[in-house]
Order: sequence, then structure tokens, then C-alpha cells
Amino acid sequence: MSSFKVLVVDDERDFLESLVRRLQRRSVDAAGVTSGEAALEHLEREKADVVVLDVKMPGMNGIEALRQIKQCHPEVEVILLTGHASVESGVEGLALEAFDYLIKPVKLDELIERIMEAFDRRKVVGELTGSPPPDQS
Amino acid sequence: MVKRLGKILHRLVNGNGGGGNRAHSDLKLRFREFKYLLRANNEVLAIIAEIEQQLAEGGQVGLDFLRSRYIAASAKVYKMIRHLNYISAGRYPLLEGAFHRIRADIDQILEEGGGSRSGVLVLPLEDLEPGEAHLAGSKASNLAELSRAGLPVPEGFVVTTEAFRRFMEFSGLGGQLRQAVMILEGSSLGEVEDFSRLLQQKILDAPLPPELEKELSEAGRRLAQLGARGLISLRSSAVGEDTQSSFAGLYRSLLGVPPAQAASAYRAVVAALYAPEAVVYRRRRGLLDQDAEMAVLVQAMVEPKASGVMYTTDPLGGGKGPLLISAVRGLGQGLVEGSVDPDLYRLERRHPPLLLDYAPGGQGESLGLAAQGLSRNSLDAAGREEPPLSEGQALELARLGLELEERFACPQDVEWALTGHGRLVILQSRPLQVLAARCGEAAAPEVEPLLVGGHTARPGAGAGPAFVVSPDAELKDFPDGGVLVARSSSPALAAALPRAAALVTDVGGVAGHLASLAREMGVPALVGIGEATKLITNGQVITVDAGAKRVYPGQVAELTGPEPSTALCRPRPAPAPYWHQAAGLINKLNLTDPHSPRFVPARCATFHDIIRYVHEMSFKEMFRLGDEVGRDPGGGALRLEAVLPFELWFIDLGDGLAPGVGTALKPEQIVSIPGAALIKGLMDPAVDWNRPRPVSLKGLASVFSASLLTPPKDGQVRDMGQRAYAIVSAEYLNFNCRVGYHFTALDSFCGNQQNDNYISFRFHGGAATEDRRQLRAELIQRLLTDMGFSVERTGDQVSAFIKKYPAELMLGLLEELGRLILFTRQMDMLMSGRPMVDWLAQAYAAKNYNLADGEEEGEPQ
Repeated sequence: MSSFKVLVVDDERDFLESLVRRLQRRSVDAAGVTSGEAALEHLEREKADVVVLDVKMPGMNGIEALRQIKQCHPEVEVILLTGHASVESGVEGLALEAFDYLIKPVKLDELIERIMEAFDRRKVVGELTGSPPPDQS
Repeated sequence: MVKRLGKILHRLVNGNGGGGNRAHSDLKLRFREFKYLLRANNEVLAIIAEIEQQLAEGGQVGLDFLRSRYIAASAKVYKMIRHLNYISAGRYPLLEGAFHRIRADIDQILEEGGGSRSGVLVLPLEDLEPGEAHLAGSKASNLAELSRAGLPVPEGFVVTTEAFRRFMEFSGLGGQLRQAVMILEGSSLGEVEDFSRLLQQKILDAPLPPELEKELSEAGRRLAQLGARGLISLRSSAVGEDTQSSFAGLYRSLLGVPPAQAASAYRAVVAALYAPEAVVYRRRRGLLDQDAEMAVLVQAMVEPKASGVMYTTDPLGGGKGPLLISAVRGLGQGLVEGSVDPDLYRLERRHPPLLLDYAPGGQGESLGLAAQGLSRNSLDAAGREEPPLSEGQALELARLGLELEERFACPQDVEWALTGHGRLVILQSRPLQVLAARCGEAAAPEVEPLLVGGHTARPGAGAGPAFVVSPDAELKDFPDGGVLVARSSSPALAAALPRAAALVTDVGGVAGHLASLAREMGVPALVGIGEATKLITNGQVITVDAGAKRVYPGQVAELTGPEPSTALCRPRPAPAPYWHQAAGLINKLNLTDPHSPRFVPARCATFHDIIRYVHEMSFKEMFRLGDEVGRDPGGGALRLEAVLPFELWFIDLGDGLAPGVGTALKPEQIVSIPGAALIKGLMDPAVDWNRPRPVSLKGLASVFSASLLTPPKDGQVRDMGQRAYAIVSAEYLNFNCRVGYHFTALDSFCGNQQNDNYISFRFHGGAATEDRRQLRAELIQRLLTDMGFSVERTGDQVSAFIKKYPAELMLGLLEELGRLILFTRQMDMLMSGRPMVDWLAQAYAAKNYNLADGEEEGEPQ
């Protein structure tokens, strides 16, 4: 398993399970939750380095979840992954410091590459702010 | 834990506290932002190329295609602005305003794009206007054109792509499809089939939006009154179908449908969009599933006496064969499905046509209409004997075919029917794929090509005198109708493009700015061919066949003259719909000259302008960053253990140095690709910098100290105790050297992504008098120009740039720059006059780096 943790947030359970399973099969330490609220709870209990976040969800939407994640856990990198892309949500998300704004479908290789990059950035930000990712080695 | 201990030790040994490390981390972060910026730049360029290609092919894509690419591009453009502002600590606040301005313009066009058609779900065929293929699909839009021209076409209406979009949204299938494409990635054919069956079933079961259901059933009922036996037909009319990608037979047509079943028939035609063979076909053609848009053509049913297919030329005859008509009695379904052996008519293509021969087939039964659908009737001997078309009808049909061919400027594949009243009607007409002779290209001429290879940036052929771009040549001298031959695909050449017959470059890819411009301006362009500037001489007449990737000497008439196959094969461009203007606001490039006073955010009028500006500025900012570090390096620097005329300190941004480097760095531990190349040049034993040079007396008198020119007597290796810095990562190098009185800086990215590769080099200053410093700058300008850089010099300042070369070429240049830095060091002292520039340039070219021979007699004075 990877030395970093990924949390996938998507309200479509089929999609979520498939993505988490495929990430795990590729040795990415991934977990999944189905709402923004659950994501925030998860981050309180268990750390994650990178969050892959759906934008359009019932209840707390992805942009709001991003805002709160960045507020409570500024060191966590968030990749927005949406099937209902719009210019507004892209600009809003990126202005809120999302690492990237990706539009479904995305190839798994590409998604993993972005996740690794986001984790790499998270490490450097950790050096800068004095909050390195938990050492799992 | 061990790692962390190592870090602390490292910090202690280096004698700097957290502050130094902070600076190092900050630098690392900015460098990462630079990398993200470069990648986003390439991603936007890829989107631009995709939009251009799709629009050039004409009518293949819907409004949704542009909308989705616009959304993807906007996120990446916005991201690039954010990255640049991060690197520069917010030096470009005006860019965001430019971005939002362009965005508002595009939004407005896309909103108006639907125009009076916004929200139109059902549209009578006769109301369709030219350039509405995105709304009605290609098949309906072709038929509407025939109808406007007065050709016989059955009555009908189209259920628009707008209705399709509503249906997919209303049923929630659109979002599910996007997810599904992701889940299906890399799955086997079997899994694709299972899934597409599931998806098709979902579509068949999904409710239509109530307003669509209502409009469809009303229009269907009205139309059925005109149809034979009160029936209608529903045919797929997908966007992009029946064009270069024919989708022949992959989508569905339903014949003899009672109007009460219109809704379920509509769902069945839409569902066929996700039939496994259609999914696989689109994958093979590179058409994305999420871009598929289906309009449905609904027509009054014709009860034909005979029907069939006409090819206006033999598809294997290279455009020169006869016209072919296949015909069956009754409905033609069996013919297109290949289950019936039809009767065949061959006709000579002339006005009026001439019947060459008629060959009966083996039709045993015919397909006809019944009250609730279709019926099969076996043919008796008399029925089998009577030809489906009389000679007169065949001639009349052929005449219609030639008219269609002329109208669409391309051979046609026509579905036709003969009604019970003896009237011929056209059911469908689409471009015919003619084999044996390629579209728009003649067979290869017998002339031996001068050059073969490269990438077709824009197909077509052009001939004229070559204009080889060199540092001495001015673009304003470019002759009208000349062929532009250049080393790199620099956008600076854009000015000459509209007058060019063709473009050839040594280096560059199809996603580059210049390639985009060539497509936009319709100039045949062949890029990245390798050695065009070496093998083609200025003024030589050449012919470029960009599509075939060949350059011929002289004028090759077969390629450039008028040729019938071009006229036959090139489909006439459809009038561009209004919303194509939105594509211009993404794709067009206006900011081509970074030195122009107009190269500012306020002048950015398109997304392409913004990324061009941001890309250019990012180099500047990385330079500036290196300079700042050179002045105040902070912590984390390691000194290279090597004999050089200055101390060289390395700062690693990630994977630039071998793991486990202690406090002393050995040259072989530099794993940065560009960093290692520069060091190789700096340490080349051929350049013996530690050796006194001949000094002209006048030069000596004008400097502060003679000691600069001879090795220090104490044996210490340094120039006035100065340090140089190299900031490296795996594929990046920023070298900064303020030694003595001059300043050298070098910034380079060099890796697998050829499009990202560049070297930027600057030099200025010196210790001698101004005229001597300037002469040295002239020498450096000369050497860099010979190496292929584009160079600018003002006084004693030189700046040089080169980009988009393959890595191995870049590495050679970096090594050469290492030698050049040492060779020209303190050379200002020698610069007694302009002849010295020539003399030293020749010495360098002859690899006489140490000016070993003929120092006295060779030196001009």
C-alpha cells in the first residue's frame, strides 16, 4: 500500500466502490465516503493526505465541502472530480485552492498520477508549515 | 525515523536553521507550481488542437462538444494564472480580469448560440437552415438541404439534439454515462457488451420528458397522415454520422412504425447510440462516448415499388469508375443488411447519363408494408422477371445522383425509393468513401523527394521559392507565395503565414502555436521534419505535400495543379453556425510577439492569448527566482567538489541529485538531466581555463587588476571568491553565476515532453571598457546564433532562447553552453577590435578553446 492516504467522496455508491476498489488494486491506500459531511467526519477521525471530491452531491455540495476541508485541514490537497462540470464550479473550486479540477471520465492512470502529484505537493507544504504527513515508514 | 534524523543532522552540518529550510521548501513549492503550469499549458493546447480539428472537418460536432471543451479549458487556463501568480508572489493581478472578460464573451455567444432554436425539441425538415447539423444531426441536415433545393424528399421532422439532451438529463442517464465510461476503462469487450446492454435497457425503460412526449406524438400523428398506410419511419441522425465517420449501419432505422408507437421507437433509436458495436466503433475512431449526440429523423413512410442504393462513382474506381445503382423490389432493408442479392445497373457518368449494362440479381421475396409494420411477400416468376427500374427510371435516378454529387461537391452514397406512382425520392445522401485514390492527394509523383517525414500540421500541397528563416533574414522580405522554411515552429513567424504557399519546420509538433495558426489560415504545414533548413537552400523552388509528409525539389505539377480528385473528395464546408465564434475566443492567437508593447494582459482577447502570455512570463519568473536565490541562497545548498573557476553550489528541488548525498557533492551525483549536461561542458578538459591567455596591452590597461587574467598565485581556484548556484530537479536546471564583473544565467527544462523543453540563457557585464564588453557580447551572440538559438543583444547584454527540441539535442546544447561560459570568461580583455570577434569565433568553431596556436601571428592587430 502507498505511504499516503486517499479519501474518495462521491454520492454514487456504485461509482465510489468501483473507484476505491480500483485504486486499492493499484496499491493506493484509499477509503470512500458518500457525502461531504461524512468526509469531514472521516478527516477528524482518520487523516488523509489527498481527497478526491465529487462536486454535485445532495446535502453539502463539493464546493462547500472543499471550503470546510481547507478551513479545518489546510494541509490536505483536494482534487475535484465531477461529472457535471461548469466554468463557475471550476473557477470557484480552484479559487478555493483545489489542487485540480478534473472532469469525468478520467483515466485511472491519469487520476493516480494527479493524486501522487497532490501528495508530493502536500509533503512540500508540510515542510513549509511544519506539519509533515504522518510518517508511515 | 532514520530519515528524519538524517534531516536534522543535515541541517546541523549545514549550519543553518529552520529559516534556510523554509526558503528551500518555498523554492521547491514554486518550482512545482511551474511544472503544473507547463502541464496545464500543454493540456490547453491539446484542447485547442482538438477544437480546431473538429471545426475544420465541419458540422461533426454539436454545441455540447464546444461547451464541454470550453469548460475543461477554462479550468486549466484559470489554473495557469493561479500558478503564475504563485510563482511570482502575485505579480500578475490583471490576468484574472482578462480571463473573466473572455469568459463572459464566450458565455454570451454560447447562450445565444441556440438563438431562436433554444429549447426547440421538434423541428419540421423544411424549417431547418444551413449550418444546423449540430441541432438536427448530419442525415437530417443533408436531407433538408435537398428539400430546399427542390429535390424529391419524403416529408418529415427532426427530434433535435436539444431534445436528446433533455431526455438524458430528465432520466438522469447523462451523469450515469459519464461515470460508466470511467468504470468501463480498460474493461474487456465482454464487459463493454454487458454494460451497453444494461444501458440500452435503461434507455428503453426511461420516461421521456412530458413536453417531449407530447410534441413527438402530436407531430408523429400529423405526419402519419401523409405516410403510406398511415405509418412513419424513424432514423438515427447523430451529430457526425454520415460524414467522414459514416457509422454506416451501426445506428438504427425503424420502418413502418404506427404513430402511437413513436415514443418507444424514439427510445429504441436513441438506445442504439450505445449498442456495443457503436461504442467500439467510436472508440476506434477516437470519438468519445460522452460526446455522442443523437437527433432522430422522423419521415412519412414511403411504400416503394422498388428501392436501393446508388453510388455516384465506383467506390473502388479511384473516382473514375461508372455510376452504380443497386435495386430491389419493395423495401430496401434486405439490401442494406446484405441479405438480398440486388439487381445492378451500371451507368456512364455524363450528362445525360448512359446505361452501360443491367444485371438481374437473385431476389426471391420482397419486403412490403402492412397495417402494423412490415410484411414479407415471395416473388413469383413474373415479379422476378420485371426489372425494378425501367431504363428511363434508372437514367432519371442517375441524373439525380450527379446533381447530388455536384451539390455536395463529393461522390455520394444515396438511398432512394421509387413510389407506387412512379416517383423517385431520396431517403438519404452521404459522402461516399472512394478507395484507391486518396482524398485530396494525387498518387505519389515520380520525382525523388528531398525530405520525407515530420508531422502533418495541416494537410494540402503548396509550391514556391523557399524562404529559409535565418538570423540575417527579415520576415518582411518573405516573398508572396513563398514556402516558409524555419528551424523552429516559432509564433514569431506567424506574420508571414498568410502569404505563404506552405510551411516546413525542422522542429515542432502539431499542438504548437504555429501549427494552430497554419490550420486557422489554411496553409499546408509540415512540422518537425528534422533537417529542412540544412537541406533546402534559400530561393530554391520546392513543393510541399504536407498530407503525404514529403518535400520535392522544383514544382511538382501533379500535386499543385488543379486535380479532379480534390474537387470530388473535399466536402464543401458547411456555413459556420454563429456559436463557432465562441471557438475563436478560445483558439485564436493574437499575442505572437513577446517584445511587442501589446504583449500585456489587457491585450489578451482569447484563452490562447492568455496561456501564451502566462507561458512566456513563467520563464521570466523562473529566471528571476534563480537570480534571487543566487543573491541569498538560504539553506540546503551543497558545494560541488570540482575544479572550476568559481565555487558551484547545488540546490535540489527534487530528484536532481542522487539519493544519499552527504555534505560533499561529486559531479557524478548530479542526476538532473540538464544539470549533468551543463557540468559535463563546464568540466570538459578540452577547455583549459586555468591557463594564462594572451592579453593585448590595451585591454590590460583598461581593467582593474592584471591578476584576473592569470591563475591565482596561491593556487586557489576561484574568481574573486564568488559562488555560482545551480538549482536542479530531475528535468530542470537554473544556473546563476555572478563571477567577476559579469553575470551569466541559464534556465532550462529538459525531459520527455518535447513540447516543454527549453533553454533560456543570459549574459551581461564584464570588467573591461564598454566597447570591449560589447565586442565580447557580439562574440557570444555569434556563437549562440551558430548553435541555433534565437538571440538578442543590446550593448553588452545578450539573451538567447531555444525551445521544443528533443531532449538529446537540448543536452548537446547545454554541454556546449558549459564550454562557452568558460571560453568567453574574461574574454572582454582580449577584445581589441571587431576582427577579434571573427578570429575568436573561428577559434571556437575549430575547438581551439585555449587559443593554443598562432597566438601572436593569428591575433589581428
